[in-house]
Order: sequence, then C-alpha cells, then structure tokens
Amino acid sequence: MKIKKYHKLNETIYTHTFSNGFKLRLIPKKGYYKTFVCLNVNFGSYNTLYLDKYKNYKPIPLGSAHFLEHKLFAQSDGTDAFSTFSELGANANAFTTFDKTSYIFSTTQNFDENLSLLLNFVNNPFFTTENVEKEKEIISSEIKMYMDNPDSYLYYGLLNQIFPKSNVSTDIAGTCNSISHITPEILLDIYNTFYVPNNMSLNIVGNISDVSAIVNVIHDNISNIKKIDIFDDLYNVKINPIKGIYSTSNKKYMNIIQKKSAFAWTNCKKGNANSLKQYIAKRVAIRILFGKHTQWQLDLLKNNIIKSELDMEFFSNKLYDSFYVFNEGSNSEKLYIELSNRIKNRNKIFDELSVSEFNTIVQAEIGEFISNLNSLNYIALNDYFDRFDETLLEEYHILTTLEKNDLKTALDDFFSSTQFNEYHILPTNI
Amino acid sequence: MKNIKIINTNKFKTISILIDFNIKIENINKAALALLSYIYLSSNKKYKNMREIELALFKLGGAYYNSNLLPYGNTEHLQFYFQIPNPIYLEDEKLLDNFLGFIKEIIDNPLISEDTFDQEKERLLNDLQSFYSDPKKIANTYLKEFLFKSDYHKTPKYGSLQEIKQVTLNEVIETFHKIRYESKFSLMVNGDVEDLSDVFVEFATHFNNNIDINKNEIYYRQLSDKTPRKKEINHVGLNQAQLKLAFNLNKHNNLHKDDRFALILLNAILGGTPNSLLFQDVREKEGLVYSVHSKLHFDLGFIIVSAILDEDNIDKTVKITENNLDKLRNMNILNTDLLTAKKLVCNEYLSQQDSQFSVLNNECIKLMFENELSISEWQNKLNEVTLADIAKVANNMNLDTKFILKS
Repeated sequence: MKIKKYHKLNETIYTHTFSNGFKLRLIPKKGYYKTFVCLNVNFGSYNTLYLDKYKNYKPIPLGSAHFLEHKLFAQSDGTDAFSTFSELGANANAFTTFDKTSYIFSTTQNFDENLSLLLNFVNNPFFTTENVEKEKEIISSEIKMYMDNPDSYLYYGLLNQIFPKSNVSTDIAGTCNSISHITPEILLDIYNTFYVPNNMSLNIVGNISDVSAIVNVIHDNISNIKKIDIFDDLYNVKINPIKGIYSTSNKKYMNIIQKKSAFAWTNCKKGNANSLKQYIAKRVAIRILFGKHTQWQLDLLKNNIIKSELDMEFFSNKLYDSFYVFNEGSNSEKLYIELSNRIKNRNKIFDELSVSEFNTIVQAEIGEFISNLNSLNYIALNDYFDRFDETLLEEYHILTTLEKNDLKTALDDFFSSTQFNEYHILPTNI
Repeated sequence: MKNIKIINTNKFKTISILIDFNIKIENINKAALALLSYIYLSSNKKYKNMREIELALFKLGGAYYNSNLLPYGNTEHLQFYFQIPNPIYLEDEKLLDNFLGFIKEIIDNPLISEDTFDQEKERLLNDLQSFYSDPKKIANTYLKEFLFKSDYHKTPKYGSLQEIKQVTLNEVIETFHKIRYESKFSLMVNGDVEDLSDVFVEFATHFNNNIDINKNEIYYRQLSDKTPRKKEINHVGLNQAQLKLAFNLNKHNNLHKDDRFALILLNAILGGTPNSLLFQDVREKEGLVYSVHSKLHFDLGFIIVSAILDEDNIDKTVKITENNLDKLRNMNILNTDLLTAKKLVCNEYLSQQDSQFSVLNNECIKLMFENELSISEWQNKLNEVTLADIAKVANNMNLDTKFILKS
C-alpha cells in the first residue's frame, strides 16, 4: 500500500495493486456521511474486437459494452444486483463511455456488504436467452428516447462527421438493429476478454475509517480471480477523422424551433501530448482563448452572434482531443468565422496576455480545483489515474507550476494538426 | 436574528452563502422576475457585463456565483448562491471581506437599463425556444397547462413566451424593488467560519427587512374534479410517447406536519427509487420502458408519474401504476419493501449533508417552516412510519390528470 499525503490540500491518497493486477485508489474524507465507489473496466464502446472461446478475433456488435453493463446486474438466483443494493441502503448505477465501463454505488450504511456485492456481481456474469431478449426491449426504448432528443442527435451527428462509420460515431447504446444480434454467448466471450482483474480499477472516496479493512474485503472477493493477458491488438483502435468541408450539407431536420449547430476541432495525435500536464495546459489555454472573461466573447454577444454564454468544451480521452462548440440560432456561419479567426490569432493573443492576467486566471483555476474537492463523485469519477497514471491531486501541483509558455505550446500542439467538422439540426419548417 | 443560519464546519474546502428572497406569487409578475434573474447574472452597475462579473470571480480566487428562480407552492424564491475557496488554501487574508463586498454589490446594484432589458429579454426568449426542443420539457409544459387551475402555475417557471414578450422595463424595475425591499430575506452560511458570526450578522443586517410569510399559506393545493382529466397532444416526429400521470394529494392541506414522511415513503415505494414497484414491474419484469419514475411535488400537492415509452405500452403501464397504488392503499406490500424504502430515503437524506448547497437549501426550507428537526429527529420520524400510515395517505390521493405527448 502506497500512501501519499498532500499537506497543502489536507488530503491523503492510498494506492495498491493486488497480485492479479487489480488496482485500488482510496481517499478518505473526514466528516462525510457517504462513501462513493466506482469500479472501472477498461472497455468501452470504441473497442471493436473481442476473442471468442477459440481465441479468434471477432467483431463486437455495436452497443455491446453498454448491453453488458446493463445485463451484468442480473444474478443467477433470479434477483438483480440493483435490488440487492437497495436492500442494503445503497444507491447504485452504471454507465458506459467510449473508453470505459463504470459501476458505481454510494452509501451511508452497510459499506462492506455493498462493496462485496459490487465485486461479486461484476465478477459473476449470468446471461440467459430470456434475460438478454428482455433487455433488448429496454435498451431499444432507451435508444429511441435519445433519438427524440435533438441535443443527443446533434452530438452524435457531429461525431459521425468526425469519425464516419466508426463505433465512436454511433450512440454508445448501439442501434436497435445492432443489439438484435447480441446473444448470451457473445456477451460471455466479450466479458471473458475484457473483464479481467488486470483490466479493472476501483476508486473509493468518502467516509473511510479503516483502510486495511477495506483492502481485506477486496482481497477476500477478488484474490481467486486470475490475471489474464490482454492483447494489445484489442486496443489497437484507430479512429481517423475525415477532412471536413464547411458546408450546410451536414444536417438533419427535426421538430424544433431554432437551428442547433455543433463544431469540432479534433486532434487524434496523442503521442507526447498524453501527459496530465499537457492535458491541463490545453484545457486552461482553451479557456484563456475563448472564455467568458474575454472581450472577444463579449463582442460575440453584443453583435448578436451568440445569444448567451458560449457553449464550449475541451474533450479529451485516450484516443483523441476535441474542442467542441455548440450554438443555437441562425448565426452559426458567423460564429464559425469568428472561432476560426481566433484560432488563427492564438499566438498573438497569448503574446499580448499580461503576466498579471495569466496569474489571475491560473489562481482562479486553482480555487475552482480546490472547490471541486468537496465532491466525492467528482473525485471518484476522475480518470487521471487510468489515463495518465497520476492522481487527481497532482493537478494542484501542475496548476501552481504552469507557465504561460506551457499553455502556448500546448495550444499550438493541439490546433496545428486538428481537423474541423460540423453538424446542424434545422427546424422542419425551414 | 430570525432568518439567519450559520453553520461552522471544516468539512468542506469552501465557504458557501445562500441568500434567499421569498415572496408570495400574488405580489409578483412572473416574467418580470424571470428577466430580473437573468439581468442579475449578466449586468451590474459596478461589474458592467458578464465579462466583468467573471473577472471579479477570478480575482476572488475562482469564486462561484449563480442566481436562480425557485417556485415553491404559492411563493417564489429568488436565490443567490455564492462560494469561495476557504481563504487558508489561497493564503489571501482579504478574500472574505472582498467576497462579502462583491455579494452586496451584486444584490443591491443590478444594471436594469433599456440595453440590458432588451438584451436579456432576447436571451430569455432564445432559451425558452431551446427549451421547447426537448420532448420531456414539452410534455412537462403541457402537463402544467392542463393540470393546474391557478393561472400562475399553468405557465413555465420563466413565464410563457407571450408573457415575456409583453413584460416592460418598468415592471422589471418594480419587481427589483419588491424583491429587494418587500420580500422575506434569509441568509444561510456554511464553512470554516469560526468566530465570524458577528461578521455575518452585520452582513445580514444590510439586507434584512423583517418581512415574513405565513407558513400556512405556502403550499398550493387544488381539489380534483370528480373524474380524472385526460389530454393527448400530437408532436410530429417523436419515436416514443411521453406519459404523465398526476395524482392529487388534495385532502392533505396540512400534511407538512403529520403525513409528510408517509408521503415521502409512498413515493419511494411507488416510483422514486430503482427498487420501486414501477421500476421493477414496468421496466424489469415487463420490459415496457427504459425510463419510469415518480416524483413528489409536496409544495404543489401532487405525485407525478413519468414514463417514456412506445405508444402501444401506455395502457399497460397505466394499469400497472394503478394496481401498484391499490397495493399501497390496501397494505398489500411487504414490510421489507417499506424497510428498503426507508434505507434508501435515509441514504439520500444523509448524502445531502455531504453537499454544501443541499445543506444550505435544506436550511432555507427549515427557516421557511420554522422547523428545526435535527438529523436524528428526521431519521426517527421516517422510521416511525408504518404501512398503515402509507395506506392512509394513498387512500386520500387520486388520479387527477392523464397526459400523453405522442407522434
């Protein structure tokens, strides 16, 4: 067990890797009632191949990671883990992203029992034809529900422009057609490929009085599960964006009142940018360039190009970084021009940024980071460890040592090889 | 001072302040209040625009500020939430003083001019148009229109498009004065504020006006018609229908004292948790929906069941809901179901104590009703509820309105 204390933040993090490769991170929070637990599996919707029982590579049907997440709660005794968590007074949930599947619970009571339940149900799949077929109806309903949501459509429409015909460009839940091909046998093979202890990690944050007791609970539940090699081929996922052309052809009509637009600048070159410092530098630099505090954004508002605060996000995962901008209204073409000019002038803007302005913004970032440490969910769901082998708390050290030039370089590294794509949803009456 | 609550704790890394202005709906213009809340976020006499407010927050060490409208029964709350990192982390001794100065400036001096009025009106109209692109929100808006008999409650939180278009600059100015000087003021503080009580009491004196609202007039209640009302609206292009079943608590006008905990548990058992009867029967056993849940609107006197589903599954879902309510009326559920619901509700309640905002919000509600239940007293009240208590409140509620939004 490694222990690292962050005196300035008054926080301590415990880390441990079990002999079968299962990783644990633990942050006690004094005075809290709740403990929040998140078990991550390094398997998401972008994975395209699995190994069948003869060790042959097979294509994964779209939506399988999400389907597996739903169905893993079924237990061999006919109950489901959701209900058992409830009986133990815990609030449980799960979600799937492009690059991971997470199972979470939070509780103020029966912690050890809830933790054992989590480790048990994730490690004991029970798939039958009957329960898989019923789940297809539920997930079809979920897929159709998101199809009625224009914002969800806008996001996936944009991804489909960036990564056409890839797993990433389809709803994480798949399509009604793709999930119809999923069988209990396929789920079990996918499970056996990815759900191995050396491909999982556990974050526990909150009301923890006895760290070693928790380690024992985990040991009792997982020590008999053997490490299994994960072949690199299974993660050799290449997603190459097509070159975007600015036109209005990337669009869909829906029953909405006003136009919705989405723009993305995407960079798939991870390489040396794959460090926590690079990630933070890019995120802060994007804020400095486009944030609410800029005269540039205020001018967009005054000139009626945007109607409210610019809706933007710097998104980063293991495969790509994207700068997304979403907008509502008819001025999306003007907004695109303004954004492009801002990106072109980025070096000049950074050169003109005074030391005092830079320090104020970084100090605000530090303050916001400290404020976020109030939230158990925020800490437990953070993925720095899995992506960068760093703890969330390292962000404090990085922010306090950031220099203006770090940001300028990071931004240049990002925008120098981005591809641009866009997608629009238009009212049916246009 | 009566309307102040200061909680000293070093559990959180921030100091949070919730300021609440509470006014009865008969004294307020809903659309004007909505516009005022927008102006508060974007324009101030000292911090002229959104940019200057953001820069001021940066200089306060990454402070956070939001203002929000919170309708509650027959009253409206205009709330201001402010948060700063605990000054010890930023080694800035003047941070708290500067923060309190910022708050006074924000609340006292919104910039209500022709320019800001026009700008924020356009922004609010734009946001409402965006709001109407989400089928869930469309269904909720229609439901309100058909469900409520009071004109005030029929329209969305920010007023209807028509009301917003018609509101004038003078009405917004008048609303500011009503909120600032003629509404009930409350201040809630949470954080490492040991020895700072005097500072906050003096701070509160700046705002306080000794205006009160009779707690017995806060809840909105309406009587049901003899037969349930039904309404269907077509919305082109939907893949799934939105079903809303509004159950009226109409006989429970004074429930906040006696039956509140029974209703909280009734809702949890019916559709308020992942272990609820609706989640288990409609989703897990029958596979009819992905999304089904119920929500208790205690301030308005309704429990509303919401489901998103194929049109073919509507009748079956309605029938299962009614059957489950009958089970509760007839005490035809297991004691273990009640026990599980108690555990889940208790878990949720204790979890709220780990969120500074939730703590302050709960304190605000306590001040509203002069209700000072401690955490353990609250848990005891919950644990005392029996199946018979739940049956009693279930027998007093009935289906008021069935609404369907479909393609």
